Amino acid sequence: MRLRLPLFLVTGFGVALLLQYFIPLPAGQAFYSRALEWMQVIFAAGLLLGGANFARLHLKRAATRKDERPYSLLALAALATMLVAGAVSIGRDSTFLWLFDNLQAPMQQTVFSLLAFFVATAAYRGFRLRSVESGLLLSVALIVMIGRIPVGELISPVLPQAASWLVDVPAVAAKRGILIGVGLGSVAVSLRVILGVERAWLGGSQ
Amino acid sequence: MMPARPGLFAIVLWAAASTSAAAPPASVLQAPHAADRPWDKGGALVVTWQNTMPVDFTVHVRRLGGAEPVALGPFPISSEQFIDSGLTSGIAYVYELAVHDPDGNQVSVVRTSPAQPRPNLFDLSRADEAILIALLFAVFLWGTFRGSPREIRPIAGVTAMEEAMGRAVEMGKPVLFSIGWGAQLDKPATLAALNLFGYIARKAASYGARLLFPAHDAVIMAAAQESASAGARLEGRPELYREEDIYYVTGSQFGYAAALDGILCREKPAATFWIGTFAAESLILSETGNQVGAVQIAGTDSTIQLAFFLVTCDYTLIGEEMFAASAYLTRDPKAQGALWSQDVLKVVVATVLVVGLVAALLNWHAVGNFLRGF
Repeated sequence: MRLRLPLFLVTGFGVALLLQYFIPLPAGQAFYSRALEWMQVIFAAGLLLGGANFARLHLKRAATRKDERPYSLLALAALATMLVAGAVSIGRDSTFLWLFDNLQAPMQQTVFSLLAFFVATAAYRGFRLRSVESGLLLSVALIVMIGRIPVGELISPVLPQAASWLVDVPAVAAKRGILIGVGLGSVAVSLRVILGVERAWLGGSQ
Repeated sequence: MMPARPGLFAIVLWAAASTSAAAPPASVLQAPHAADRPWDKGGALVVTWQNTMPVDFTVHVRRLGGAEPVALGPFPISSEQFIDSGLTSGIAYVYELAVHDPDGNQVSVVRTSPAQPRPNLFDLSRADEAILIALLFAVFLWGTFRGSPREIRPIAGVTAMEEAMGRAVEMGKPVLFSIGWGAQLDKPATLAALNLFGYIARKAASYGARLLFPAHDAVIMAAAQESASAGARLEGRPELYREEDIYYVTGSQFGYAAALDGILCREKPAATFWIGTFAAESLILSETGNQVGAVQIAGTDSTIQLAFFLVTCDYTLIGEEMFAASAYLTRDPKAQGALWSQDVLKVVVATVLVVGLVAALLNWHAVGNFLRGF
């Protein structure tokens, strides 16, 4: 029953929502809108569940792990502060927005900016000349990088054209090949889930 | 008898005059009519008329029935119909059809009777999609329930999963699995990744490896907890399931990346699995994983992030390999049958691509238009 009920719901809703796409009667449209509303409800409930899990985890860590206690207490304090600030007011000049703009946004930007350094180290590792394939990768990367900067045009007008061709033709061809595989794979997994063949995601045996 | 003859003649004349008065003059549009467009999703009416006038006349149509009349532009009188779409189903509309001569003078005006657009039982404009989906269903159902075990080419990343976990156990370090910040439970890629997580959770329980799953979505976290708990139970080692190792971190993209970087640096996992839907956090995570010396196995449907995984991870499942991995790992005949169906459809898609290419090169417009219709 623990597995059968979710499988029954998945199959029922999967088939009903698929049929609804082709049957434009008002009842079908209403069912679709209601299903979307329920997704929002589940998302909201998920936020509550996440918040509760976060609080429980850090309370436990603060109580049991001495070395991580300050971090867990800070995380709990941040959670409480944002909850209180959000409950008091959410608007243009609210404390909540101030905290978001002046604390969370800069921290996110800081982590995002790390990407520049990681790209450099990853590119260094990726472009090391070890084999014929990596040599090919290095050559193509050099053409694209030099062709995309103004000095590339100065070296040779062919370079920007070659860079554009590499990006627009072989890269797109490979991407489309992958996307076709992903599309068919998505359909296969969806059908396996709807038909109840695939159950591992529910914690069932295959 | 003679006096009666002028009377009879007058009656005939009157009758003839009455008949000509009942029939509209030639300059008036004949049989104006508005009706619901059949086999659609609603919101469209078909306005028709019969033409008895010279072809260089035009019909100026106005829609009445909304807040104010809407001019729908002149139409050639010989077209005898036009479709008005974008209407609200269930509201009655009347159309005013004014005939103009070639000099632009209005000759006559008629109105249709009221008509309401209604949604129908089947949307015929989606018939091609219905046929395509029915074919896909048929091929997949046939392959799945035929369910014969098949030889699947080994996928390096998948065969390395068990080795990676064995390494973690030998080193006494945990295994980390991330499904990516872009994952949502309604995406097939997320379900495929959770299927793999179910397999890895079972293997981790059988080896006695500690499995970490920091989640960005509480619903995914709940599904993963259920999956890991069942995996440990199925391996007969329920005591190895640790709920506190599958936890919610944050819904913020770079908050999630920062949290996982912290976990990687503190816990130093021996193996990391980056399987699911990733966005800009992919390189931050996998590069940090590389720096802490973990064996890394990635798999994603995000084509942009594949390049980052390829240069930072030891093994990468490219696109469809991620969807095929669970069938490969479980050796379930039904899952392998579905995989076979997927390959059949790939051959069909490749054939269609070749036919389309040849049709384009040889200017076979009919074939090209037919394929474009899908």
